[in-house]
Amino acid sequence: MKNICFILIFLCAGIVKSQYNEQLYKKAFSYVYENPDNAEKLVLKMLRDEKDTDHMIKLYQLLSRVYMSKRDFDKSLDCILKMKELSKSITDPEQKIKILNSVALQYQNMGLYSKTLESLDEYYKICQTLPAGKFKTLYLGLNSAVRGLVYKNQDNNEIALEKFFEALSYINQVGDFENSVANSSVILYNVGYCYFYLKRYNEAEKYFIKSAEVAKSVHAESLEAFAYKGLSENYTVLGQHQQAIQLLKKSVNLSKKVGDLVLSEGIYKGFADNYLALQDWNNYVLYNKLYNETKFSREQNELASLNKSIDVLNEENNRKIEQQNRKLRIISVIITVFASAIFFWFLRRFITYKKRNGILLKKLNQINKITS
Amino acid sequence: MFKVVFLWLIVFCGIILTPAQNNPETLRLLNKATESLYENPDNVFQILQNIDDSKESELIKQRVQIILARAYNLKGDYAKSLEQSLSKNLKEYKDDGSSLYSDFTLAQQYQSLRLYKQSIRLSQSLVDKLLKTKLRQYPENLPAQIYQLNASNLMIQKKWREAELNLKLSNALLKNTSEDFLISIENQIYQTIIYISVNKIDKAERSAVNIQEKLNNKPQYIFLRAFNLDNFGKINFLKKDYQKSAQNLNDALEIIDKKPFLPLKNRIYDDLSKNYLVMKNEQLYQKYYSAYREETDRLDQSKKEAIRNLIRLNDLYEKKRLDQSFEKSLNKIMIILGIAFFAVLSIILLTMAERRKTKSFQKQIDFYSKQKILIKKNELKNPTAENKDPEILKKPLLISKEKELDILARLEEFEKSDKFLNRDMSLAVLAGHLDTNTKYLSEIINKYKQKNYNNYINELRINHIAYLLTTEPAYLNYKVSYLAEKAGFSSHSAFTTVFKSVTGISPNTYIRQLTYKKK
Repeated sequence: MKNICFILIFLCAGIVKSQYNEQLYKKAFSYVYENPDNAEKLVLKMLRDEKDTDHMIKLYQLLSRVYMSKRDFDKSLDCILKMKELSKSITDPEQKIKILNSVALQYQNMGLYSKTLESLDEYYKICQTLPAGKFKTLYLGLNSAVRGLVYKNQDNNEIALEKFFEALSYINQVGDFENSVANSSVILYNVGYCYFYLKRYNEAEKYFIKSAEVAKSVHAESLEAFAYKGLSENYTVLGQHQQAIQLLKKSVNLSKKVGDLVLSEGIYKGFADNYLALQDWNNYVLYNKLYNETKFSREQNELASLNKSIDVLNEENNRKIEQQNRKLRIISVIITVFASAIFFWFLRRFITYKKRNGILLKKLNQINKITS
Repeated sequence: MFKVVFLWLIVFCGIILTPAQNNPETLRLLNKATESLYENPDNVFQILQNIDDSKESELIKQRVQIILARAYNLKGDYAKSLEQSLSKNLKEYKDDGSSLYSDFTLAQQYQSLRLYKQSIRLSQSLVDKLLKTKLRQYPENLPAQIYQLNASNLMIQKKWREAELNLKLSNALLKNTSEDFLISIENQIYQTIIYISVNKIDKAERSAVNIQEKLNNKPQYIFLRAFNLDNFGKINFLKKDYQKSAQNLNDALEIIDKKPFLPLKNRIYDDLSKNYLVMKNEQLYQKYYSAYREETDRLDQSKKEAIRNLIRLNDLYEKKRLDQSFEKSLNKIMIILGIAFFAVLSIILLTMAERRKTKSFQKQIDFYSKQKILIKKNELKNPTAENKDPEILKKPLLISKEKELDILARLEEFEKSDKFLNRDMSLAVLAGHLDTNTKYLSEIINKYKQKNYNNYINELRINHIAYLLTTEPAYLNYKVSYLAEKAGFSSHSAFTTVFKSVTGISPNTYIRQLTYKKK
C-alpha cells in the first residue's frame, strides 16, 4: 500500500513539473565521484532548460559537489555563490533556510570555517522570525550541530560538545521529522569522538553506544557501523582489546553492505592495532596490510577525479604539440624545397659564368702575351 | 664579398653561443642551504635570502626554488612548498636544463601530495630523457636525484626490484662532494626501507648499521640520523624487540626534538604508539597515538590546501609546456629560414660577382685587341685609311656620301692628332674644327663608331693614355691624377671610372700589370 502511494505521488510530481527530470538528476548524482565530467555535462544541460528557482538551486548544489570532486575549488565556490544569490529571490523562509544550511555544509566540506559560520548566522536570524514549530526547532538544532562540527574540526572539543548538546536538545524535541533521528545518531557519534579526543573515555563509551542504538532504531546500518568503530577505538585505548575486536567484527559485517572506504580503513586499523596488542602477529600482519591497502586506495580514490583532469589536459596538450610539430615539418619542407630551387638555379648560372670566365681569361692571357 | 659572408657567420655564431657563468659565492650558498635541509630547514630560508635572485641565471633560480620547496616539504608545510613552485614557475625559460628542473619539481610535488600516478608519469619521462641524452648536458647532480625520485615512485608501486635498480643507477652517478654524500645516504635509507618492506631484516639491519657508521662523522645531519633510527625502530619492531625499538624511536625523537621535521616526527609517533600498544603501556600509547592522529590531521589539511593550488600549478606548467614547444617550433623555422636565406643570398652574390668578372674580361679583351691594333698602326707609321667599308653604307643616310667621307677622313685625322686630349674638346668645338655642324658629326660618330660622342672621345683619350703607358715606361711612375689631367679629364675619379668602363680594369691595376710584365 505504501509503495503504491509513493508511486502515485511521484507520478503527480512528474506531470506537474515536466521540465525537471528527477531521474536525470539522480543519474548525475551517481556520477559525482565516478565520472565528474559526465555529471558536469548533465547538470549544465539541465540548468540550461531550468526556470524553477528551487530546482536551479538544487542543480547548483550538485554542480558545486561535482567541482569539489574535481578539486576545482573556484568553480565550486562560484556555484555556492550562485545558490546564495538565487536564495535571495526566494520569499519562503523555510526554503531559504534549507538552502543556507546546505551552503553552510558545503563551506564546511571545503574547510572554509568562517564562511560556514557566516551562513549559519544568516539562517539563524531567519529561524528566529519563524513561528514556533517542528521546522524551526529542527533547523535551530542543525544550526548548532554544524557549528559543533566546525569547532570539532578546529580541535576545540569543549565548545564543540556544548554546541552538539544544544543541537541534541533541539532535535530530541521534534521526534521523527525529516531524518532527525539519523541526524541525532550522527551528532551522538561526534559527541563520542569529542570525549575520546578529550581522553574522557567513559563518557565517550556512553555516547558511542547511544549513537549505535539510535542508528539501529532507524536501520541506518552505516551509522551503526561507524558507532561500533568509534566504540572499539575507545576500547583499544583502554586496553580492552578482546571487546574491541568483537565490536569490529560486528562493524565489519554491517559495513560490507555499505562499502565505505573510510569506514573500512578505520575498521582494519582497529583490527591491526588490537591484534598487535594481543600479540597475535599473524592477524596483525594480515590486517595491517589490509589497512595500508585500503588507506592507499581511499586516498587515491579521493584524488581520482583530479588525476583524470590532469591527464585530460596533458593529453590535450600532447596532441596540440604533435600538431604543431607536424606543421613545423611541413613548413620546413616547403622552405627547404623553395630555397634549394632558387639555390640550384643560381648555382647553374654561377657555373656557366665560371666556365665562360675561364675561357675569357685564357683568351685575355693570350692577347696579353702577344701585346707584351 | 667574402668579408660579408664572414661577418654574417660571426653574427650567427654570436646568437647561438651565449655564455652562462655562475657566481662561486652563490654556488657555495646553495651548497650550504642544501646541507641545512638536513640540519634545520628554518635556516635554509635565511641562507637563501643572501642570494639575489634577479642577478642569477634561470638555472640557479630553479635550484633555489627546489631547495626552498624541499625545506617546506620537510617541515610538512605542503601548501607553502607548492606556492614556492608556483611563484617561480611563472617566469618563462627556454633552457632545456631548467625545463628538466621544473619537471622534476612538479614530479616531487605530485609525489608528496600523493598524486602518484602523475609523479610516476613525469619521473618515468625524465628517466627516458636521461637515457636518450648525454649526461654531461645535465646540471649538477640532477640525474642522480631523478633516479632517486623514480626509485621512490617505484617503491610506492611495490616494484621493489626496479626501485633497487634505480637506486643503483643514482649511486653510480654520484661524485665525492658533500651534496652527493647526502644523496647517497638518502639512497641507502630508501634501500633499507625496501629491505624492511620485503622482510629481509638482516640485510636491512646491516644497511642501517652502515648508514649509522657513515653518519657518525657528520652528526649535524640530524634528519638523516633520526630517519635511520626510525628504520632501526622498525627493524627491531619486526624482530619483536619492542623495548629496543621504542628506545631507537625515542632517540630519534630526541635528536629532532626542537627542529620542525613534522612529517618525520609523525612517522616516529606512529611507530612509537604501536610499540607502546604491544608493551601494554596504555598511557604512552595514548600520548603518542593522539599525537600521531593530530599531526596526521594537520598534515592532511596542509596537503588538501596544497592540492587546491596544485590545479593552478598544473595549468601553469601545461601552458608553459605549450608555449615552450611553440617557441621551439618558431625558433626552428627561423633557423631554417635563416640558413636558407643565407645560402640563397651567398649564391646570388657569388653569381653576380662572376657575372661582373665576365663583363670586365670582355672589356679587357676588347681593349687589348684595340691596343694591339693601335700599336701595330703606330709601328707601321703608314697612316692609310683602312677599309672599314663593309660596315659603312649599311644604313640609309640623310647626308650625302661625299660629305660623309669627308667628315670621316677629317675625323680620322683628328684621331691621329693629340687634340682630343684637350679638356675643352666638346661636340660643338670638334664640329667647328671639322668644318661641319654638330648634328652631322654626332650622326657620323653614332653610325661609324657605334657610340655617342662622349664615349667616343673618352675612349680615344683612355686608349691614348693606355698606349702611352705601354710604350713609354716613364708614364708608369706617374700618379693617376697626373694621367687624368693629361688625358683631359677634370677629376681623378672621373678618369678612373671611365678607364674602368673602357678597359674593364682600374688604371692602378693596369699599371701594376704592365710593371709586372716589364719585370
